[in-house]
Amino acid sequence: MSHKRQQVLVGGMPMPGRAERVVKALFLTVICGVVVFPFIGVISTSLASPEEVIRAGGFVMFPTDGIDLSAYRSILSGGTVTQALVVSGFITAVGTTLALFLTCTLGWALSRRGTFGNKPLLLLVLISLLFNPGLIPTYLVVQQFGLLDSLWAVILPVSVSAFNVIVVRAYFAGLPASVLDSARIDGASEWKLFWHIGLPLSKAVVAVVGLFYGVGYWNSFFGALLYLNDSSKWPLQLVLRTYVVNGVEIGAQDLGAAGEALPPQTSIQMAILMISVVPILCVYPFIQRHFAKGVLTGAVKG
Amino acid sequence: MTDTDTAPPPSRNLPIRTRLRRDYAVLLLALPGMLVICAFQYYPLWGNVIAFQDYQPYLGINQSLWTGFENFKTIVDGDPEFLNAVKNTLILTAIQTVIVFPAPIVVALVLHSLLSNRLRQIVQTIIYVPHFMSWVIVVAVFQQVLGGTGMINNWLRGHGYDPIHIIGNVEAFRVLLTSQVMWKDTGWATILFLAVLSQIDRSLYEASAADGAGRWRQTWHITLPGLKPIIILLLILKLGDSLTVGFEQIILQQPAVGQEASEVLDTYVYNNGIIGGDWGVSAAVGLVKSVVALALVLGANKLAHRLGEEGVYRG
Amino acid sequence: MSIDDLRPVTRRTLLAGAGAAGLAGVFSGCSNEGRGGTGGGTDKASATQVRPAYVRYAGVKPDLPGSDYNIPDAFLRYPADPVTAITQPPGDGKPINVMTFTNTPIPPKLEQNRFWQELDKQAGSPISVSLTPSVDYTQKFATAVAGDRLGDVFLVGNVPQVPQLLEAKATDLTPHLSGDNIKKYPFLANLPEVAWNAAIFGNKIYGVPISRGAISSQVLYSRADILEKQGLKAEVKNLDDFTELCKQLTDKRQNRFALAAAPTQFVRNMFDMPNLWSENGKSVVSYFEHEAHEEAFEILRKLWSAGSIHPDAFSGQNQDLKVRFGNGSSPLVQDTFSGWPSYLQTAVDKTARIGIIAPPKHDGSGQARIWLGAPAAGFTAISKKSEGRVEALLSYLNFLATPFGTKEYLFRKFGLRDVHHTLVDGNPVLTERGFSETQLGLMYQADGPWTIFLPEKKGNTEAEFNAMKQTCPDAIANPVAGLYSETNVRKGPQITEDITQVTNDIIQGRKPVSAWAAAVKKWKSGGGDKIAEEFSQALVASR
Repeated sequence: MSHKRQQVLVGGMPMPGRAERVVKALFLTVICGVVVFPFIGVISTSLASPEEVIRAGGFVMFPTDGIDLSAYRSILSGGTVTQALVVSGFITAVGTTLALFLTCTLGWALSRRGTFGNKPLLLLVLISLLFNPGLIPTYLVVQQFGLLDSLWAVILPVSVSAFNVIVVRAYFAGLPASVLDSARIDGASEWKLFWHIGLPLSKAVVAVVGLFYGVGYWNSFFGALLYLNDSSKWPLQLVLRTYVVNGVEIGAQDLGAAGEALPPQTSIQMAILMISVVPILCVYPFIQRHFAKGVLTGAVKG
Repeated sequence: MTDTDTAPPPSRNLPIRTRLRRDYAVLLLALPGMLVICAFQYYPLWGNVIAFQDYQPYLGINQSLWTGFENFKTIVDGDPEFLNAVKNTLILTAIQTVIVFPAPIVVALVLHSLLSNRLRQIVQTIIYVPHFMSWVIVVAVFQQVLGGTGMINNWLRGHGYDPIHIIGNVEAFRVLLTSQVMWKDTGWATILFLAVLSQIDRSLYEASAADGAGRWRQTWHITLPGLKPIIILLLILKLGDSLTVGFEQIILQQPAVGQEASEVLDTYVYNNGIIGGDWGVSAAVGLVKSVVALALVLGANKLAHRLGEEGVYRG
Repeated sequence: MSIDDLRPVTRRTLLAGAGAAGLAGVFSGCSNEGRGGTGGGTDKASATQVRPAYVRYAGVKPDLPGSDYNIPDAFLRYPADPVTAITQPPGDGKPINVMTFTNTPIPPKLEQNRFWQELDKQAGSPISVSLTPSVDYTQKFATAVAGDRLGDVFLVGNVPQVPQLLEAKATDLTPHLSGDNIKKYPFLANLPEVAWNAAIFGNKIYGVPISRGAISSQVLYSRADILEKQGLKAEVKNLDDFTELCKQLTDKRQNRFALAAAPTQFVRNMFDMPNLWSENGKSVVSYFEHEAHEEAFEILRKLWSAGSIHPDAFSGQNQDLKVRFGNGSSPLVQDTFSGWPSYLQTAVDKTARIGIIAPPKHDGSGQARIWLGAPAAGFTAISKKSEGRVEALLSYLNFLATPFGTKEYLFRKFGLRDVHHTLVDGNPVLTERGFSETQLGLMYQADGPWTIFLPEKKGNTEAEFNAMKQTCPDAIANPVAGLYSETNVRKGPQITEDITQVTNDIIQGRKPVSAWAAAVKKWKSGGGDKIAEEFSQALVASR
C-alpha cells in the first residue's frame, strides 16, 4: 500500500482492501452459520408438533406439520412461570444495580494506588477469587445472617465478583491521569471524581460488567434451590428446571396417573431455552449501545 | 494512558493517622464491597477445616471426627486415578489456553475492523447466543448434529457411507470438548475485548495513517498493544483457574467415553468426594487446588512485572 | 446397585441440566438399587421383632387382584362410589412442614391453588412443602441436615451414615409402628411387608417407605405392532432366537436399530445371574463374580457390531429411549414395568401396541427369571424435633397412604371433580388445572401400594397385568435389598461406575472380554469385598 496515494480513513483506519473484505465476510459468515444453524434447530424443534419431534427422534430443522405451540403452552399454563418471571426480573434488576454499585466503588477505591491499605485490600480481593468456601459453610452463613427464605439470600452472596472488581479496577487505573488530576486541582471530592468523571469515562466496562452480573442473576438457580423453601419465591430458571426434570423416573414412572400426554422432552427443553434466552436478547441492544463507541476520545479532547 | 507514571503520593513515611485522614474517602468507597467479600467469601472459609475431618453434616464441625492429614493422602500418595485426573486437567488447560483463549481475540479484531456498526452489532448479537445455552443443551445440540444417529451420520448411512464416530469416541474426546467450548463461549468472550478496543484513542490511528501505516501495521502497532493489558490480566486470572476445566460439560459426557479419558480434577473430587459423601476429601483437594492457584497467580503477576506489564496489580 | 441402573442415573442428570449443582442429587430410588427391600415370598427381616404387622386393606376390590402373583392390583375403571377411608382429619391443626423432592413442575402458590387449600382442610393442618427437583435433592438434603432445617417430615436423601444420621435427627417410630401398634394407622399397615426393610435400621423403625417392588422390575418391551407387521413372533426360545429377532429388526440404511440400548440385564437374565447379590445363608457374593459374564459379553458384542443396538446407546439421554421406541426406530427397549404408560404416550403411531418379551434361558431350557425391582423407592422420616407431634404426623402419612379406590386417593391424585378432573367413561382424567395444582410431591411423602390403572387406552391394563403375571412371580429377589452397607453408600457409586465403564467398553469392542476379570478384581479390592462383608453381616443380623 503506497503512502503517496490519497487515503480514505474510516475511524482512523484506511479503507480495507477487497481481498480483506472478502476474507472477513467469509469468516463471519462461517462463524454465524455455525451458530445459527443449530439455533434454528432449537427454535424449529420448540415449535414443531410433538408427533413430528418424536418421529424425527430429535431435532426438527424444518417443521412440516405447521407451528405447534404445545410445548410453550404446557410450560406457561400453570401460572408459575409468569410469577417466576417477576421474581427473576426483580432479582436481576436489584441484584445487578447493587452489584454494579458495590463493584464499581470497590474497583475505584482499589484503583487509587498509594492510598492507605490499597495493596492488602487488592490482595484480599484477588485471593477471594481463588478460594472456595464450599456448599455447607456458605449455607450456614446465609442461615446465620437470617437470609433463608428471602430473596436477599439469592442476591447478596454473589453481589461482588472478584473477577469483575479486578477488571473494573484495571479499567479505572487506565484512565488518563491528566483528566483526574485537573479535576482534583479544581477541588473535586473523591465521590465526585468517581461519580462524575470516572464512571462516565468507563461506560463501556460498566456496561460489560453489568451484562455479566445481569446474565448471572438471570440464569442463577442454585442459591434459590438451597435457600428458598417456598417455591412461590423461585426464580425462572429454577421453575424451568422442574420442567426439564419433569417425568424423570424415580424408581417408577409417577406421571402415569396424569393421563395428559405431555410434549416430548426435547420440545420442552428447547422451549425452555427460548423462554430464558429471549428476554436477554431483548435487553441486549440497549446495553450494547454503551460500548459501541469510544467515549474516551471525546473526553480527553474536550 | 496509565497512572503508573504519575508518582503516587509519598506515603510510607507518613503516620497512619494522617494517611487515614487523607484517604478516608477512598476507604469508605471500598467498604461496602469489602464487607460483602468478607461476609460471603472469607467468613465461610473457616468451613475448610473439614479438610482435616471426617465431616458429616448431621454432626456438624463441632462433633465430626478430626482425622489430621488423612484426607490429604490421596494427593500425597499419588493415587493413580488422582494423577490421571491431574494429567487430563493439565492437557485440557493447555489446549484451551493455546486454542480457545486466542479465538475471541481474533474475532474481536475482525469485528472491530468492520466499517458498519449495524453489521457489527448483528454479528455480535448472533454469536452471543450459544453462551446462554446450558451445557445440557450444548451437549444435546452436538449430539443431534454429530451423534451416531445425528444429522451427519444419518445422511452418511442413508447414502451407503460408513458413519463417522465422534461422540463417544475416546480419541476424539478432547477435540469434541474443545470445539464445544469454542462454540459456546467464543462469541461471548469477545465482549470484553471489544469494550477495550472501543476505548482505543482514534487519534492514534489517524496519526499513524498520516505516517502511512497500513491496516496491518495499525493492528500490530496500535490495536494489539491496546489489548495487551487486558490479555495479560485475563491470562493471569486464567492461570488461577488452570486446575478447573469444564466440570459440568465433562461430567455430562463422561459415561460416553469413560473416566480414564475424561476424568479431570473437579470430576474426581465430585465422584469420590461428594457422591460418596466424603466432604473432607473434597475440601482437602479444594484447599490444595486453591493454594496452587494462588501461587500460580502471584508468580505470573510477578513475571508480568518483570516484563514491564501492569498485570493484576503492582507489587 | 446394578450396572444397568446406573446408566439411567447419568442420563437423568444429563436431563436435569445443572452444574455441579444438578449432579449429586441422585436418589436411590431407581429400580434394583442396593438398598430397599428383599424380594418375593422369602422375607428375612420378618424375623426381627420390630417389623410392623401387615394388614391388607379389604375395603376396595381390584378388578384383577395381583396379590397371588406378588404383583400390584390392577383396575379397569375407578370405582364409581369410592370408599371414605378416613373420617377424621389426621392433622393437629398446627402447620406441617414437609421436605421432599419432585419430578414434576411446581404447583401454583397456596392462595391460587384450590387443591392445596382443600388438602389443608382434609389434612386438618396447613401443609407447607419444601420441594426440590429430584436431581438436586442430595445437596439440598445435606445442607438442610447441616443447618438443622429438615422440617417435620422429610424424605431421607441418599447420603452416607444414614443410621447415625437418623439416630441424631429422626424420631424412633418403633413404639408406634412395630408389630400390632401399626394397626392404629391401617393404611400404613397396608403397605407391602418387604417395603419396610428400607426404613428399618438396627432394629428400629425410622420411617415410612415409598413402596414399589415388582413394578420396578426391568423387562424387555417390544413394539408388538411392528413385530406383527414383519411377521415376527414376540417370543424367543433361546439365545439364537433373540439374536435372530434383533437381526430381523435391524436395517441400518433405514436407520433402524432393534434395541434402543444395550440389553445387558436381559442377556444376564438369560444366563440366570443373581439379582446383584447371591447368598448362601452366611455370606453374599456379587453377581459380578458370576461365571457366565464372558459368554454374556460375547452376545452383547455381537449385537453391537451387527448394529442391532442403537449407535447412541452409550451417549444418549434418557428420553431418547422413549423417543426411539415411540417412533419405531428401535422396537425393543429394556425398562421398568412402571414405564408402561409413558411408553404408551410417546408412541406417535395410534395403532402402536406394547408388549413384553420374557427372557428365555440361554440354552432354550425354559423361561429365565427376571430381577425383581426394589421394594421401596425411599422412605420418609419424622424429625426428632417434632417427636411430640409424632401421632398427628403419622396420621398424616397414613392419610397419604390411602390406597386406590378410596375417596382420599381420588382426591390426592385427581383433586376435585369438575375442577381438577372430569369423568370420562367413569374414569377421572386430570384437567390442565388439575395437572398443575396437584403437584405437591405428595407421592414422595407417603403413598399407597402401587396399582396398575391405564384407562386411556383400552386393553393396556390387562396387557401390563398379564405381562407382570408372566414374569414376576418367580423373579429373583435381591437378598440384601433394604439392608445397609456404609461402604456401599460411600464407595459403591464410584466403583460401580468404573465397572460400568468397562462393561460399556467391552460391549463396544474397545476392550477385550478378558478385561472383565481384571475389572472385577479391581472392584473387589476397591470396596466390593468390604461391601459384601458388610451386607453379609447385615443379612445375618436381620435373621
